[in-house]
Amino acid sequence: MGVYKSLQFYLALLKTSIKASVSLRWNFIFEMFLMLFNNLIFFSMWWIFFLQFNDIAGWTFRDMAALMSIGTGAYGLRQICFGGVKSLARYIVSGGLDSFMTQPKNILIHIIGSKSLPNGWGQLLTSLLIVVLTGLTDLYTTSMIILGVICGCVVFASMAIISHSMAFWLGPVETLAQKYCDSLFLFALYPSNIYSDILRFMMFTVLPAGLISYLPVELVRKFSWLYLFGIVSGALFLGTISFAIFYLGLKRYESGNQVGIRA
Amino acid sequence: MGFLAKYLAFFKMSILHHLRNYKLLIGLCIFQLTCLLIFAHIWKVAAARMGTIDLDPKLLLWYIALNEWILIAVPDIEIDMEYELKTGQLAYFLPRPISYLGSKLVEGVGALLLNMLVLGATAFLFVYFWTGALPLPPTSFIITVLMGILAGFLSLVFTMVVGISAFFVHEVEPWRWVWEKFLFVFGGLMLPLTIYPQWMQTIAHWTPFPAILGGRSGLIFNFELEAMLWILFSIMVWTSIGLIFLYTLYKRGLKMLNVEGG
Repeated sequence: MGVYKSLQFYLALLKTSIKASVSLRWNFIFEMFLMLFNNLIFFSMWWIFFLQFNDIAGWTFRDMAALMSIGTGAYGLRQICFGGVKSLARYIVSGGLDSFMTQPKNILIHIIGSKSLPNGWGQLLTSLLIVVLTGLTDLYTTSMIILGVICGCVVFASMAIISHSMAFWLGPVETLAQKYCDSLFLFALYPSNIYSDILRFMMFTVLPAGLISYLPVELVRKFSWLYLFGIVSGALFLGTISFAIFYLGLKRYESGNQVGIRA
Repeated sequence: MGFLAKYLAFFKMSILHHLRNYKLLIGLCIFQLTCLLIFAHIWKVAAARMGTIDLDPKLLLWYIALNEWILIAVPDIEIDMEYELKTGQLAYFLPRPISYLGSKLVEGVGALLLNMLVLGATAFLFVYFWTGALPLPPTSFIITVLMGILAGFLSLVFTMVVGISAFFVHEVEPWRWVWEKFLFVFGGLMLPLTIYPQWMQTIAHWTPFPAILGGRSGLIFNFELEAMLWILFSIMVWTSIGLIFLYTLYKRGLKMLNVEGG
């Protein structure tokens, strides 16, 4: 299946998934606002912190707002566009991949695009609100934030695919994958410039929160071709690696005996 | 006696099931040590920024270990409950001669205790060799650890409340996020509670969060009988509230299921 056809298929799938998530209207609105509330709690804490201490290792409240905007926006976009990744480990362990494998489509794209989570819209709305409320609205800043959100979304999705794909080798590790993804999001929302050298290395490798937080915010502060290259190539690299790991693991997949169909 | 035997069997099954999945336990241990190092650094920077650099770094590491221990040991039981409720698997549990809620609670306790044993041993040994000493005299330390087990149970109860909300909402994930955010902020995991205004510290005092994380772990800085009794009282009261709330939500959910179908 060619890249163009896969993309076409994914877009059609995404459209259907979003329609399905919006169809439960009240639930959609409720989850969206609950997520907005949740993010605003977190944001308020940093606001209170910066009211007392003007900067943290050179980062001001404006930088923190850019970080929150990029982090929540990226995670929200992942929830909307790749919501199905949340169930990947369960599918692998319970034999749930069977119904996806019988269709002549890219399996991974089919799984991750098969669900769109309403709370992602709450995250995106938070991102937008922060941009507006903190005055990050000039053309350069906004475009860098959008770039950060898109690349961050790819990083979040890739790391989720990699951590859930560990189920091919380790068995039922859904809990661990979930905790890992949550932590990645949590650490991405801390100012990365406070980390020491070893931890900073970890923030670009084991827990690549630095690709979502440090580099995009530095780019918002001041343009650098090096940082731009770092963000884009990092996201593309992780995206490629995640696909490779999933398909490597798929060779170890043992079919289940569940009876079911997938439309 | 037969009543207890049923639950004991579920408890044993849960422990055996989680023991068999030892790779997950190893993964959680590595993950815990990673988080421990990261949070230790974040707190060191925050403490320096606040001018409270005199906070003993060794005690700080113990404090974070005692927090992370609970946070990672509590099983993600809400994911299973959401799955069982949403897929209709609950229908297969209901005719069994054992309460669904009771069996889930016992299963959760089994997983929690095993996780706490393994993760506690890993984290405490790691920090002990790192710092070279226990944070408190042995008796006081054992009391702090025992209170940690009770706090873990409290956290498990509220995690189940999040899971049971699947009766009423499509996804439980947003509730889990809200619970965790409050836990991180009011529990003093994200940043020291003392950096927040007094009114926020007062609010936090009347929530279950300090008893689960910061307040309980904070005993290592100043182990006093009064503070210990307050935290114990807080854990007991909030566990009772959580259990009543959990049972009420479950009954309401079942009623809804019986009337409207799955």
